[in-house]
Amino acid sequence: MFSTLLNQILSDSTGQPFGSLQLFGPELTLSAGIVLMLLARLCGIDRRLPTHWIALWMTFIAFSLGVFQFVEFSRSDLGTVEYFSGLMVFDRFSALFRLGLLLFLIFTITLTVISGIPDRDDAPDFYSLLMGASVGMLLMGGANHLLMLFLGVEMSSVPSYAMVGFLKGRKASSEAALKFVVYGAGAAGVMLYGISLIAGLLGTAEFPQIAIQLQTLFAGESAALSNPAIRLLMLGILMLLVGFAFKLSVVPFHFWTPDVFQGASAEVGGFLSVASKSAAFVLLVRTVLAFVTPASSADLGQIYLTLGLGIGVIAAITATFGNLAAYSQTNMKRLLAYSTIAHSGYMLMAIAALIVLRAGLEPGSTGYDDRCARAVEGLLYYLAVYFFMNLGAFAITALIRNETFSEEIEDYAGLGFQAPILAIGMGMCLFSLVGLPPLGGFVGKLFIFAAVYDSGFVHPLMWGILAIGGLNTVFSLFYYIRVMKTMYLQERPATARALRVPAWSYSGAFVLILTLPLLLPLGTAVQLVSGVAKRAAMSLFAGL
Amino acid sequence: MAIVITILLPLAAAAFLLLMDSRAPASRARWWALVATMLTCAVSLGLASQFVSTVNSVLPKRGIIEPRLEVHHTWMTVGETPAGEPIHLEIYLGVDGISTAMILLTTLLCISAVLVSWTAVQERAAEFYAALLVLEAGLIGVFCAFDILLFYVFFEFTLIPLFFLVGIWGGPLRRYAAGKFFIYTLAGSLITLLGLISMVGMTMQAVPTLTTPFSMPALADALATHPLPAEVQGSLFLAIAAGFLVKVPLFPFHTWLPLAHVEAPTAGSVLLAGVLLKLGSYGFLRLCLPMLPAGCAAVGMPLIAVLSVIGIIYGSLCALAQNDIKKLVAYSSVAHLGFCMLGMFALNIEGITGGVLQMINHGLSTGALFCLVGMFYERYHTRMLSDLGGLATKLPRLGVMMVFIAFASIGLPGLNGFVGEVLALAGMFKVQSPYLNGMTYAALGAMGVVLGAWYLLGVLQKAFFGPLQEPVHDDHAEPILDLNAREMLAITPLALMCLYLGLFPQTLIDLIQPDINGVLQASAAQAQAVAEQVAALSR
Repeated sequence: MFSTLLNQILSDSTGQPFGSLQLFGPELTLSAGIVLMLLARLCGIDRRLPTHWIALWMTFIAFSLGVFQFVEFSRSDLGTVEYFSGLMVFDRFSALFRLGLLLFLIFTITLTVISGIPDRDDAPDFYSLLMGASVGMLLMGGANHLLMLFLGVEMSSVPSYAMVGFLKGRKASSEAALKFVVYGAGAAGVMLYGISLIAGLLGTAEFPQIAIQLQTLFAGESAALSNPAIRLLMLGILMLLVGFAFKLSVVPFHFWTPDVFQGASAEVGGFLSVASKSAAFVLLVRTVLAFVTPASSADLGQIYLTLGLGIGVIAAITATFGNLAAYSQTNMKRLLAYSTIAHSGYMLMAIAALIVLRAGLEPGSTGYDDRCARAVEGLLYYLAVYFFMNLGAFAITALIRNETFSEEIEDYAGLGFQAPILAIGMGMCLFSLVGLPPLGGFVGKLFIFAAVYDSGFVHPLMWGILAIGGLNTVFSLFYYIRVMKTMYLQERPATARALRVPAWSYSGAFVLILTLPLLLPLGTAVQLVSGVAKRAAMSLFAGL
Repeated sequence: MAIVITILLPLAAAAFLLLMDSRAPASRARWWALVATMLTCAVSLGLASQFVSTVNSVLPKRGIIEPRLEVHHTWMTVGETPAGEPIHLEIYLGVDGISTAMILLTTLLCISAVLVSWTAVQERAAEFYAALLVLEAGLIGVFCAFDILLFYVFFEFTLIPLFFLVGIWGGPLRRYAAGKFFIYTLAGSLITLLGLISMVGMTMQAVPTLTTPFSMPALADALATHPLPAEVQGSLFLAIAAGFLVKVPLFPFHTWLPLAHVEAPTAGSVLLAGVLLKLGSYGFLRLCLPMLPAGCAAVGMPLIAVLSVIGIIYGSLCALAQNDIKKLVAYSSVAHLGFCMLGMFALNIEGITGGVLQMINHGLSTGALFCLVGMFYERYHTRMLSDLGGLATKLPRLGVMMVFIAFASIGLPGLNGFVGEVLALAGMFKVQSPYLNGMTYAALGAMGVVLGAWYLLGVLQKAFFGPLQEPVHDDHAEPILDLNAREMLAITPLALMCLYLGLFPQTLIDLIQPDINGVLQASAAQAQAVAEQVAALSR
């Protein structure tokens, strides 16, 4: 009895026994790494073997597993595999996200080793939290069930709270952590309430079932807003979106972001800014596709279209607010926090385009899936570029802090000539964040704006949002270029400590590795990355 | 291949300079930079001769834009055409006559730019020359790019090195000037990008089979058979023009220019005036005239003609009022580019030829003027006209060069400025359009020639003739000497080119004529296509 149950849980949808555990391999490896690190401290091994080696090696093993699975899966003709009895799903989309996140984790751990942010005593705790949060994000990437959605969000949030407060002696850090917890708990509560409304109404929480249930629920009934069931559903969806908005720091749920990023160390800021955002975006794509399907009735499609346009407007507001608020910042981490808000806005535009295209186009019209997939592809490409440029900006902020003990922009004066490698790297990251050609950010923005432009054929409001997005690029230029001006056009005060960061050091090499990919759009790499992103995006639509 | 080398050579040299030991003496960086620019110039000469030899191979049918020596490479595929084919963005490099001329101008001016900063730039010389070489590569790239997006990439890319050139090695207000210049031009060109992408998008709707809609020749040919409606062309023109108007710059978008020029180091001013401003007019020539002829005729011609004439007169008057010679030359650029745009938007063969000649001529003569201003600024540490007088007796070589270049810039017959201005005005004179009366504008523009003579001769008279008057300088122990061999080497090629193009302008006209004919074909072809559509509808 028990073994049959176990078998059912552990086999995947292809019927392979223990298939679930195989597919869950990378997450299990990370979890094993956490246990190992804590055990190592128990036995005192961490005195001899630095903990970061365990973290790095386990992550690397998980990454290799991920690569192996990705290649294996790309060769097979399987579209999607559900595992853990339908709670999780594995397809190219989640496989790609998993690879990206694990690679990001390797970069983050390397950065913390170089910048030495957790000291030896704290290292096991810090890396456990980091890897625990990553496991949560991986769950978000593969969630196929509203419950897993909530579990993933919480599992990635709770360790993040602790990481933000990790600089224990500092008041700002503790304050940031507290703010983060309070906001996060509130948002999680609202989200859970929304989930229970939806699940209660539909009688299911599985993503593939949602669309079917919606169809049967409103069969023969009007699905206009006058129907109370629809109002309930919309309330649930809006509450769910509040949870996402908190994770993505979308206006008006962004208030925590500047304080948290300023209070936390730059390494943690970089992790939150890239990993947590991309996980939330990946999950949002999945959720959107579960609700907005070609089978939606005309009334429901109309509501979704309105919802998509609303999200687009919020995205435009978010981008504008982030860019305008960043203008007056004097602290680099706070500036990057506002820039993160603005970039959430840009990426949310792709989601809005996806919803508008999915709900507004005639299902079955030529290129219906293709045009929707292109919005997802644009988002994935942007996330790939964002990985490098935003982590680069945070990493260089951390490395500069290690040299000058300051994160104030005015203390960056003259760094351009004293630490050229850091300044050039920062320049490339910031110019790429602006979206200036020939750097990666330009191509990323191009992909997203192309999708938004395409959705303008469904509803012209999207063209207005596109125009605001373009305008925002100009706004953002002001504050990014101020940092560059400080670094290059101002002299370093004579009293300031001279610093030397040669290109041929660990920090220099790390910066080079992070920033060189931003130059790749010059060559053929765009084709390569966008091809992978395209296949991953298409895999979401093939099964529908 | 030569094209790729011309772009990569300065970039490689720049990378080499940056990687050089930072404690190495500045002279080493200078010599390397000089060698690199000379090599680039040599390669570009080779490119030009290769181009000239290919022109003679007769084509069965000439396209509207017809680059030779092409390099194609798929850069990325974005989305799909309405017909379901993937859209190819290409790394599409090539040259035609106009771009060959502009590349030669760029590589020549870069040598002068390196030579004039020989002693002026002492601090961070390696970085300075690296930025200069990166700028050179970007500029050459703009002229070689025949894919719209690639063009835009290079177009924007030139901002970054110039930002640092102005911001680090510039005058007292350099930070403000660099920021203003950067933001001003970038804001304009973003609107251009939106316009370009909409143009491509609309063309794709009209011609679903076009798989490389971003390639300029393909786009121009597609539009020639399927022209966009005239009112759409008008609004697209306005959007695309936004960035180019700022770059040229035409009144009232010129306010960044005097500031940037005055604050930039000499080499920066030389390249800014000599080549960067031409990116605007080059953009009009490449992306507006062949693609949107109806928009250019209906919206462009009246708008640009008015703005150019205002620019010519206003720029000249401002120049007349200046005490700072560098600022004076900067305002004279506004006036001269007014001539260039006035000619180009006459939209006939004389006008466009005059406009393109004016692009080259202004590059040579104003580049040389900025070199000369830099040279005596280095000697006297002032550029104020009120401090100077009778320098020709003390510095005869500088005086001779100044007189010569000033005459070229005024447009004295026999020197290069004359040909371009006359052709541009003649083109405008001929215009008989329902939208404007060309004669009036040509006459108003011609006033600018007189004003130009007034302010430049004013400089000569005040600073170089009359009783000797030198600024008081007590910290300056070493004697003030005339131009040395290095400075002569920087200025002589430019002066010789001014003379040569004044005497034998036909060399240059022969080079660019086929391409201008191609541009003019576009409007004829589009008019014919529209007439056919109307005929088909009435049937």
